[in-house]
Amino acid sequence: MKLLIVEDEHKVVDYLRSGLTEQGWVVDIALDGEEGMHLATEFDYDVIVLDVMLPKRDGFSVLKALRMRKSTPVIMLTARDHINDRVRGLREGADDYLTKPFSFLELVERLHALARRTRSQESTLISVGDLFVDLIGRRATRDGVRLDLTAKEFQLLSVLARRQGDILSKTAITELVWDVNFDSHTNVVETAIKRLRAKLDGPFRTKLLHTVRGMGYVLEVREEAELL
Amino acid sequence: MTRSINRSIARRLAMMFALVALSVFTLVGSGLFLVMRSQLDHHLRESLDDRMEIAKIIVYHSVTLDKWRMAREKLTDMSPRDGATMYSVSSDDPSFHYGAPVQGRVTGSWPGGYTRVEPAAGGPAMLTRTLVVPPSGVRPAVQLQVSASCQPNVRTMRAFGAALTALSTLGSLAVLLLSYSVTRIGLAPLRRLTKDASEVSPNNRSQRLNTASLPHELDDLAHSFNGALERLDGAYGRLESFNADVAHELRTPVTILIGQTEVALTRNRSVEDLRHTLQSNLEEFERMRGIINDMLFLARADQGERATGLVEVSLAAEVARTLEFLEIPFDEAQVRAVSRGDAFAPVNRSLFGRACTNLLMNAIQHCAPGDTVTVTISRHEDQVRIAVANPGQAIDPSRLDHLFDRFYRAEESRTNSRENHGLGLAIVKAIAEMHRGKVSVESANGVNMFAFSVDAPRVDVQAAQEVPAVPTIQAVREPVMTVERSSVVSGHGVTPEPAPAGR
Repeated sequence: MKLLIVEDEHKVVDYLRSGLTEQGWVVDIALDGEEGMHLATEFDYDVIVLDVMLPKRDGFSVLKALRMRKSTPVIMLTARDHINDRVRGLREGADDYLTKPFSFLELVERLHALARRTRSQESTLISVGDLFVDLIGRRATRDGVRLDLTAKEFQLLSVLARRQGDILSKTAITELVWDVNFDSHTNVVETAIKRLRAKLDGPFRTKLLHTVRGMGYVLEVREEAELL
Repeated sequence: MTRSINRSIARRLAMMFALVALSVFTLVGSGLFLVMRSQLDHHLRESLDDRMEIAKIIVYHSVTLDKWRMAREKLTDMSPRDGATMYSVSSDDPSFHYGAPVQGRVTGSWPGGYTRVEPAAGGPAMLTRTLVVPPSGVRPAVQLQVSASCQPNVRTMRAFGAALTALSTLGSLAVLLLSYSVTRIGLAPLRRLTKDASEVSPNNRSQRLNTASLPHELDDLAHSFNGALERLDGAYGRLESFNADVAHELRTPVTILIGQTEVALTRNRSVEDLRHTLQSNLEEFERMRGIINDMLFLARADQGERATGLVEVSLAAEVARTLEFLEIPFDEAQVRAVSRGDAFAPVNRSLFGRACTNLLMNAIQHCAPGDTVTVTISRHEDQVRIAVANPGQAIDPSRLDHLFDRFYRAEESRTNSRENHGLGLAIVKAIAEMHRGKVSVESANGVNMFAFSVDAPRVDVQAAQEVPAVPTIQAVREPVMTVERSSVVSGHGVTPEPAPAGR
């Protein structure tokens, strides 16, 4: 998927480019508003990441001009955490909004969410190795054995399974599972993961649910070598 | 110039006193003047009467021509040379004539036949009285006129009026000067206050107005001013310590970051070691991000920002949602939760959930295993109050006021300071204020209760409406008796029956 980043801070541009390229995005960079406007209108992108404070032409103006021609999804970035900025951005056609400091994972979440909007319906039966998650029947089996999960544990598992291979941050998990979208300073996610892991991976040799320290959790089949 | 006069209380008061004095002097002077004039006029009429009486007797007895001649001589003798008093007799008989009656414009008349005449021939105004003397002997009936000059009276009144005017003016001037100095003396305490107040500055915050020996009119002002200083001083002090706290909170993660990055870079490290360093760094960065976001949130609330995206919801349902989210922490702490009452209020659901989460987490931290946390939702006129109560040791009353302060920690060594940087209750307060509500805390009978309120002006009639069923926390509504149920998870999994044993 193709992505345009309009941002003037070189360090931000560098880590976004390398991080997103590794995640499989094709990344174009514009370092000021004029260039961003030019690239955004000339080429077709799946998502545009647009900073508000830009040299030559600010993000709001770029967004306004862009919206007259295209409906490419846009995520606005800003250091100013004012409701007015947010309202203005969303009113003028931004699809999402991130306030600095934001985490890289959070940005990836939002990008996925925006790109998914146009994607086809995802499957209702997900498999990760020998784990099968039936989203409609609301049941999970591993190696043919049904897992005895609570409602929340199943929801947590399905959220991780839908995005298998992607690291999900604590914030994203809280939002997707509990519909809580603030930093709660609690250990709810850690404990929920611990309990799910006991049921999911406890009796099995191959572990599927992995912790990425400081970032979040990922559900995937890993190479044996890595596990040892 | 006008401005400076208006601005000086002493000058304004002096001017006003002088004006008052001038009015009073004018009033009294006018009164005196009128009384004086009427007395002088009265006196003049009396002396005119006396002379008339004598002249009447003289004319009355002149019954022969000889006697009339003698009478004329007597009248001439009685008439002073300056013309201050004049007599005249006139009749149909030309031989019974004396002098000439005063004629001219009549400018005033009084009962008893007194008239004031401005002589046509010029000269001072005269007061005249005319009598008819009946015939006797050879003398026919005659008209006797006596007139007296008003000149002395006019002169006296003029002098008197001038003296009154001069005295009033001088008196007013004296009042002006005296009241100016008296007012200045009276305002001396105000100048002292001004001097005290001018010495208050951020470097001298403890300076207060000296209220000793102040007149009671200024006492209230000084006390109010001192009260305002006290509040500002408190706010300033909190701001200072807040800034220090922020710096302190950030100093720890920054120290860790610098230190461990330096250590990692001083030797050739394995990839695994470097990964460890980066992961540890990330944790510190996340912590800093949390602090920054919370600080920005509090700063916005301080600027008076109001909650937006308000939705009218059942608060019991929102509390139940939060309790569901916190099911695991409650479970781990072996603490139960009970929710009572309900009310509808327009809230920002995310902010409301955050406030509930912070209060409930605070309650859990101060609970012992087996305790019960009670959430009570109640309406108080235009506010709905959400109170979270937990059994706990009594809180020192001096600390109650500070519990919602930023970075305030009831116990100095909090074990979870890594997770919660002392802003939890401050955020509850900010959220309450964003909903035009308040926070309160009570500690009595072994129960500590933290509460916040939100503005809900509409009177709701749907308080009895059912809230969505929550798996593990039973919402208990009044007046039903409390039915408590443990929040400990007990088989609410997706598979109601036990999993099959075989493969």
